[in-house]
Amino acid sequence: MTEATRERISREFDNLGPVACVTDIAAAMRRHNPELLDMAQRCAADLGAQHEPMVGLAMFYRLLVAEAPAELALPRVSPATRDAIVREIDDKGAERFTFEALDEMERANPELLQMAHGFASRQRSYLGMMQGFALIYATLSAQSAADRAGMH
Amino acid sequence: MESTAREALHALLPCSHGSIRLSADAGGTTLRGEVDWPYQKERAESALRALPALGQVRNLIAIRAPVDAAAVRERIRQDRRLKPGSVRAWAARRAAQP
Repeated sequence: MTEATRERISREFDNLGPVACVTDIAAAMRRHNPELLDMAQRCAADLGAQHEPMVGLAMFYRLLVAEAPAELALPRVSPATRDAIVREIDDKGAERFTFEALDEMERANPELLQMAHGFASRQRSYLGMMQGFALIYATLSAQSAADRAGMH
Repeated sequence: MESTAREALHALLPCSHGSIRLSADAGGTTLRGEVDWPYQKERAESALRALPALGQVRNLIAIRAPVDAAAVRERIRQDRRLKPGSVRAWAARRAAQP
């Protein structure tokens, strides 16, 4: 992902307004990635101010879609992958799971890390927001790996 | 007057206005905070300049410096001392789900 894409999406949210953007993105997630939408909504609700965290998670997803050749090119998270993520968190602990996801994000997609940090910095819970971004990223990565393995 | 200024900021930056602070004194209005992009700093200033009653506008908004994962980890560790996160609960499916 390029810096230009990140700025373009930021402008999109400031031009159209966060409510319109979140509505559109949530509708797309409901069609293409309902498990991921459920995770994002639970994260946002748990952080106490549902609207704001959801704006960040929707922007994060929008950035990933913006770089994909088509929205359907993003992995569709399955219930089995979601269960596997829970087991991974249980095995590693929440902190290690989060840090590993952030390390991978920095390595593979550093612009996403910048977006996540910038957004989380203006939230009440920096930790919670970053955990939400790490979870979405790690889940999509795990699904992508599972999809690749299934092709072979 | 400050609420008018905040409304103007919100109108031009409905998503990112939250990282901008306003303060007013006899000399005018000062913008502070950190944003990700120069356009956000410029729009914030434009929003206030459209309100002559605010007087002189000083734009001290900074552009956020890039971070690396190590800096993010450190900040997370500081936050974790206050409240552990709930990442596992968000990942888990509801019991009623098939």
